[in-house]
Amino acid sequence: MTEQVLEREALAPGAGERTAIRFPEGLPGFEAEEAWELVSREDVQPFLWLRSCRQPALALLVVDPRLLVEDYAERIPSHVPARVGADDVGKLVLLAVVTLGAEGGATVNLRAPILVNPETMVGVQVILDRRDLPLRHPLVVEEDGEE
Amino acid sequence: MLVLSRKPGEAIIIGGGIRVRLLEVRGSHVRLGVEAPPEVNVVREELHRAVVATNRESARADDRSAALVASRLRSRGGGRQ
Repeated sequence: MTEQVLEREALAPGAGERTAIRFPEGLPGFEAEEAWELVSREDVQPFLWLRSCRQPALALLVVDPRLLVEDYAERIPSHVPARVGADDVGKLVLLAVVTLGAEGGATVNLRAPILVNPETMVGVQVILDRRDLPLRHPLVVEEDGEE
Repeated sequence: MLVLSRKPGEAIIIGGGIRVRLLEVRGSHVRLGVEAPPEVNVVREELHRAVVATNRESARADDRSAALVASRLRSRGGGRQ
């Protein structure tokens, strides 16, 4: 958990609440949507919304995977940052897609991270060739009753 | 759909920069070798479909549920305040 602070600074240069990101290939399932914005809202922290600029009702819930898996960046193969024109994964913004289940549970997709180059604000969702990174990593276990 | 027959060792070229070679046929199993530029994502179709599914499920999250799960995560110390 040592890299937490670094991440937040990388995400929001100038402490803006909304950060535009262009995905030239769209996202899997939403290939036509190139323009997105990262929306930071207090009520969903540490999550962020990745919202389509063209369809504001379309938003994915995302989280920085380095908050969950300390050595996550090290697990990304060295050739992958080139997908967004970078040579070092340490300089990238990383986002993992969160899926909410019934009863307050949630999983996070560690297999297919979103990479954003903060210098160009261009992003891509990659699928890593790593079986040890699950598509549905349990994040919050479902609870029967309210606390 | 374009259909081509290939023998082991033979390849096809896609768009000039991508080469798909048939390496081996063993029973019902075919091994392919793909050479592509680093910016091209090469992935098994079923894995791509699984990612489409998780993305679409994520897009169904509503504000209230997201806030609830987020508060649970924060109270557990898994997130940052």
